[in-house]
Amino acid sequence: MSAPWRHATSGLAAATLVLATLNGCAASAAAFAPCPAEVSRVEIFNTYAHHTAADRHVIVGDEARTFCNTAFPYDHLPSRSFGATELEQRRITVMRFTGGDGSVRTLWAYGLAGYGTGMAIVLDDGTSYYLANRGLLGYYAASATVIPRAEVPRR
Amino acid sequence: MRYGTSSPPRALWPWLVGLTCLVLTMAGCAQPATKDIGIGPSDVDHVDVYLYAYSTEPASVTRSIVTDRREIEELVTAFTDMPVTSLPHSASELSGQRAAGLRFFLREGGSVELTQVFVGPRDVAVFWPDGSVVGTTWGSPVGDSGTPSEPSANVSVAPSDRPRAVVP
Repeated sequence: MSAPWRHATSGLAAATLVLATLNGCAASAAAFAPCPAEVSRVEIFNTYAHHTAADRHVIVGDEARTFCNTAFPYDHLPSRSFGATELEQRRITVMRFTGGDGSVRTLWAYGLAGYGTGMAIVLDDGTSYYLANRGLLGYYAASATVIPRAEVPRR
Repeated sequence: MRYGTSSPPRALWPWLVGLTCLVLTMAGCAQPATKDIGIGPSDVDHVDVYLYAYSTEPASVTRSIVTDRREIEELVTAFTDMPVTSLPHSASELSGQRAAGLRFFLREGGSVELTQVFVGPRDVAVFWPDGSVVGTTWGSPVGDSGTPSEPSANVSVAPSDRPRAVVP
């Protein structure tokens, strides 16, 4: 191989390496609409890592509809898959929505470990998303009922 | 014969450029050192907040009790994966600054306590349960909003009741 081609090939390989690294951070945006139509009830559970305690509070009626209108100010989020070891290391918030037709939908939000790492969001249909900040609040009421961790919906 | 610093062979230049780009890219993703309180809001029953002017022997200390789950979440989140540096201040420089001792009472019993000293925006010292004292860019003065700032919620307590906060 002549020297110019060798240089070009080497440069291409190096550029590919850099692009491959950058591509590891990229993700495609997908529609995100966790609330069912005419939501009538939202149960919110909060727990942490592997700890045994959990909180639960319930929002119904107009308050549930207001919640769904304000809690998710984004209609698209990056799709991303997460390994089991990434989840359940920090705060875990689970939301169980009941729609007007009685259908139930569940969302799991996991705080990811580390500085500025954001959150993983997983829906019960298996889709998962990445939220680049921790903007998804866990508590929407001043008080909550303490429950055993075992009562928190599991995937 | 040539003396001095020799240049890499020309064939290596593309790789060196690529490697440099890669290093710069990775440097942009470098994570700062962090510390973590190791509990979640759901582990906490309530938080006692002790406000005073930082001193090893403060003249007066007030205490308020936080039970609102939203405020507890904020207080716990403030000490979750916090970026930290070595403490850029001496004890004398911290003296007189706004201090908040936080004692998190856990539902399963026991407590976790730490102290924040607010020097200025992005200039905050934190005394951790393990005895380490670090600097951080996170934090606003505790008591500027929410229950702890309510004068009626504050009661005077013995200074010795506050979480211990001593610069090593």
